[in-house]
Amino acid sequence: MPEYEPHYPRFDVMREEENWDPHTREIVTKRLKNESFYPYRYLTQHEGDTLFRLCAILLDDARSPVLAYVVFHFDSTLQAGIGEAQRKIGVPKQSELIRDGLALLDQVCTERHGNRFISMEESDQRRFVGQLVRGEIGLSSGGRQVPVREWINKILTEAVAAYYSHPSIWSEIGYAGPAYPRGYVRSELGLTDPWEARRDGK
Amino acid sequence: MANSRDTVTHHAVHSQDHRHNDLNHRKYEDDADVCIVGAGAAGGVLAYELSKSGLKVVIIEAGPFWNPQTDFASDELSMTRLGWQDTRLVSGNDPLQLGHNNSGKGVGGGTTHFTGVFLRFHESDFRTRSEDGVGEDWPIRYEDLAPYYDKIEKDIAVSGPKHFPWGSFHGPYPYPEREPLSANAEIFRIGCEKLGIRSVVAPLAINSAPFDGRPPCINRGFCNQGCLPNAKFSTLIHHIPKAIQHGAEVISDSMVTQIQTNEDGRVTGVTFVHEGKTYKQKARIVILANFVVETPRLLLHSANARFPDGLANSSGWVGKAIMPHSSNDVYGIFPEEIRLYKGTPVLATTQDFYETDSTRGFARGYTLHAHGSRPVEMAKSISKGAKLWGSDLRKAMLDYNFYGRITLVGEVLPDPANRVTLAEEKDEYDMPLAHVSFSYGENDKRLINHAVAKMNEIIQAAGGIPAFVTDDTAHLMGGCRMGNDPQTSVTNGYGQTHDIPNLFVAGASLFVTSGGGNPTNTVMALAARTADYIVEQSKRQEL
Repeated sequence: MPEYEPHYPRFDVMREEENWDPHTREIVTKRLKNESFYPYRYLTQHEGDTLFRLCAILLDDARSPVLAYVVFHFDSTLQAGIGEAQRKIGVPKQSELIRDGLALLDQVCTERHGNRFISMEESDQRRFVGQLVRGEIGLSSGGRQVPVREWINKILTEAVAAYYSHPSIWSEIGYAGPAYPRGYVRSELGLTDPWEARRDGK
Repeated sequence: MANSRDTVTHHAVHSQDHRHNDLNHRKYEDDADVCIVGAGAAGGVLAYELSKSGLKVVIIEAGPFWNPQTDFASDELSMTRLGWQDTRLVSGNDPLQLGHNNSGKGVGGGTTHFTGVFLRFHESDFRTRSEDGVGEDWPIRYEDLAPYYDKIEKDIAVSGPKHFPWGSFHGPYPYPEREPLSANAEIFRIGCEKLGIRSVVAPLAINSAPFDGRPPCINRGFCNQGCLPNAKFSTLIHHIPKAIQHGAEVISDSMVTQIQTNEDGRVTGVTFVHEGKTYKQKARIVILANFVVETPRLLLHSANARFPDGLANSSGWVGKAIMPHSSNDVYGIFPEEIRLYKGTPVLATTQDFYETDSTRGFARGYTLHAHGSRPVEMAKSISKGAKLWGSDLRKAMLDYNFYGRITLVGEVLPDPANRVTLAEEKDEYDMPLAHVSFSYGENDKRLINHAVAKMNEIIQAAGGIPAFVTDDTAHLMGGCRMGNDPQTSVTNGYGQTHDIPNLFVAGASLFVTSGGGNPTNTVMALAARTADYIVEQSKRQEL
């Protein structure tokens, strides 16, 4: 994993939570309560562990508190059974797509590497995910298959949505986050309000 | 009801002085004059205008009656629920992204999460067949809508520049233009100026000064997540409450599943489902304002022995010729921080490329906006189709604050092959899912290429380096187009269906062409015109 150098190493968006409206604050602070993520309601523990590793590679970040929230987002989305907004004709329902894809991932990994995905060497996991993304490997075994592009895109999209909703990542990229009721006063080029991330670290 | 702060205010029936959790206290169960399906941009305007005229109006909305203060939040992920998330099946060469991208669920519909951009169509938009040999002419002209554009803009105090250089309306707008601008809007205007492209501060349905008990915008930037201070207009906070004051009743959290007809071939009301139970709403007039996918779906699903191909569908045009706008984004990286999260997302605009220019190799044109973005939206769009993932994605997003963005709103020509039909698969109401098929045509693709090149030029002229181009669409129009010929259109120029005189369609479904700018102003102006027509016809007892 390459070293990353954030522009705002000392910025912490949560320092401002007192200034947020109560509803937003409740939503955002829940993302930091890792103990509330378990037990999973839809995923099995093994599915959750597999998603954790898969998302760590897709997002290139294995920090546990953030990744645990990402997996929790999958679990709660699938449990809630809300609509998918759109699904390509011929593609299985989201819940089946994700679940069947995870099962087939293990089967294909076992056939090729002698291990389930989470038991593989990290370098092998990375190589394998790269091959899946590039469509070099299909997910089919024993007469079953899932459309691999749809599967990996679905997982990446949901992982990205959750990851960039986590306040630790907001801090890292210098996103000032929720802004009600105060709004922004200094919005023009070169101006910052006092609570925004600054490169001089103040 | 669970935690009262985290859940939607859950009443089913909303009328003056009364809110009820059940459907045993309905105001006009058997004697409504008008039943409107859908409480969005068009439904809100119709509810207000028709109830003001004295008609007994019932509005049935599939989603909740939001309370902005307790239901909205400064958060992208949780506010995706403002979109219509129910699954639709998509196909074609360019399958559409639906949900929050172009629809709403809940009172206010899409206006709860639109960017507030408030543009008029140009004269040429109504005559593309005559002028450019593409698309189709509308049965109405710009002059027919002009007084309604005036009215709507005044009713909600649209803010905008003193002089608007394009189209037929040159300002001034009812309220002064917004200031200050965001850095992203500033660099857009700098780039345009260097290239000799005219740009303006965008006309917006967002307060630049207090109006109607609502405060001016505080540049919070979460227009697409629901406006918490109520500075941005929505029918949720403007037209619907006023309609209720004039006697209208709103039935929320209720999905209309069938339109009823009688032996004379007229509609008699609708059937709807609330918490698993089926109810009826009788009405003399039914207006479908439930957007481009659900309106055809409901018409097709309401087929009966007399109307075997669906209601109002003798032409076969129900569901045909749906059009999104092409809405590709170009992200450019700048040496200084732009901070795309700050301020109203769209604050600067050009329509210099709106009209047909035969030297460009395609018909019709487009609008470009400086367009802010929050992290989830940006990360999702640059990673779409796994174009960017892993360390490339993470590195790009570490520079989030250094990106600027320009977005296209491009005309897409109507093609009857792009359509809404019924799928085999059924939903929780036992209704077939909508199947939405879409593919760009050649003209559409050439327009997109031209616009992307132009957006790259503007970013470069402003001192940035174009970094990512993302495919996207915005808005959705057509599917029940208006026209003079009952064989090739679903409604007349007022939205009255050719086949059933007391059944109307309102909203974006009526569009004959897409135009090259944001559609909400046109949606609302059309609805106001339909309302006038219904009031006049009712007075003359012709409905």
